Amino acid sequence: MADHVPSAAPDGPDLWRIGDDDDPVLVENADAVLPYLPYYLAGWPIRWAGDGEGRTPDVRVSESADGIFRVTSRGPGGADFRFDNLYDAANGVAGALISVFVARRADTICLHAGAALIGESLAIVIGDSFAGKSSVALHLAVLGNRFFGDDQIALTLGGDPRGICLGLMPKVRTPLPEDCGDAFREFVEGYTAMEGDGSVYLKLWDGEAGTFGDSAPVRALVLLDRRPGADTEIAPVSRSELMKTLVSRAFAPHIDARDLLNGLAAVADGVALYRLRFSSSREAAALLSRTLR
Amino acid sequence: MSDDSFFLRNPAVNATEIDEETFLVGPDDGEVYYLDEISSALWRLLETPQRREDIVKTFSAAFPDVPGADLAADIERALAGLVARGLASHFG
Repeated sequence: MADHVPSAAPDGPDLWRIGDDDDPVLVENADAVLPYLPYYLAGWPIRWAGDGEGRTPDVRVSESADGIFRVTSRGPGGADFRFDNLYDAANGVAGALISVFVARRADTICLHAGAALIGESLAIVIGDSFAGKSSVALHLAVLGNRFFGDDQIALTLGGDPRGICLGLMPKVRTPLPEDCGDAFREFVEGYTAMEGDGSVYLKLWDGEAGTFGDSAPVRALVLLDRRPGADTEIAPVSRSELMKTLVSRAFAPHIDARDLLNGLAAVADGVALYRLRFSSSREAAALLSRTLR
Repeated sequence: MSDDSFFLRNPAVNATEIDEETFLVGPDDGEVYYLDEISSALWRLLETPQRREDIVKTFSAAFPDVPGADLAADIERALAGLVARGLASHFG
């Protein structure tokens, strides 16, 4: 959950420091979305920043007369989005915070992936859209592995990669699949913090989920290969095969594409690479957890 | 198209070989492309200027079991893809 949210900002310039004390993201007019931010982010310290000591805000939130919220961010990967409600605007701010956080780190990218701590190191699951990375990551959490993310994780490049938890709250599509299992159903029902159209957001206990900034060495990159009716199998996959997906799942507007390619190749060199074929996310997570423990 | 026309790699493209597959960084868009078997072989061949008919001859020798018409069509598609993405140039 986002920490240290003051009950009200004093009069004056409306700037907020969100993130690490030594390198926060400066957000202008964040007040309106702050109560909603904890639905999307956990562990990002939030403090009122007065006038920001002359710094230019990294992210700006504004509301137009017709009730549209605009969230703009600057720097590499900067964006300009509009939302018609505060929930979505808060989600937009969460995305902007992550974008700015990652773009400030020359050796770090944002990877669209799920991740869980198995033992002392991370298994990162990647795949195309709807490959099941979110459900496999959450099933890993149900099995007692510390959840690090079901959609995005920060990843350091190079031969000794580390995954950094971004504190994003897990999101589960509903209705749940028939074969998800009682434990997963109870897990989702027990931790649901907010329901939306066709999905729910979960709030896990601190011990069950990494919080913003937690990091761990990466042990394995797992390419998800979901096929209807397939038996659950895990096997080594070639570096080039995994790289094709890894490149397409990386978000790093601050890094030259050549450096990104070489950095990802070094990542793939430094960890175990698997293809996980499955039809049931529950069985896939169980096999992955057994394999890496 | 003239018979004397030739194809050549764009020297500004950065190429990384990973397990015999080729990943390229587009010079204009910064996009990362990976090449299939035919395109990878073509990319290696285009290190020096190559005429279309010479490319077909080289591939025909390397893939004697593939019908000539199929091979020529595959090469044409691969060449068009490389040129369209700015990864190779067509002169003449």
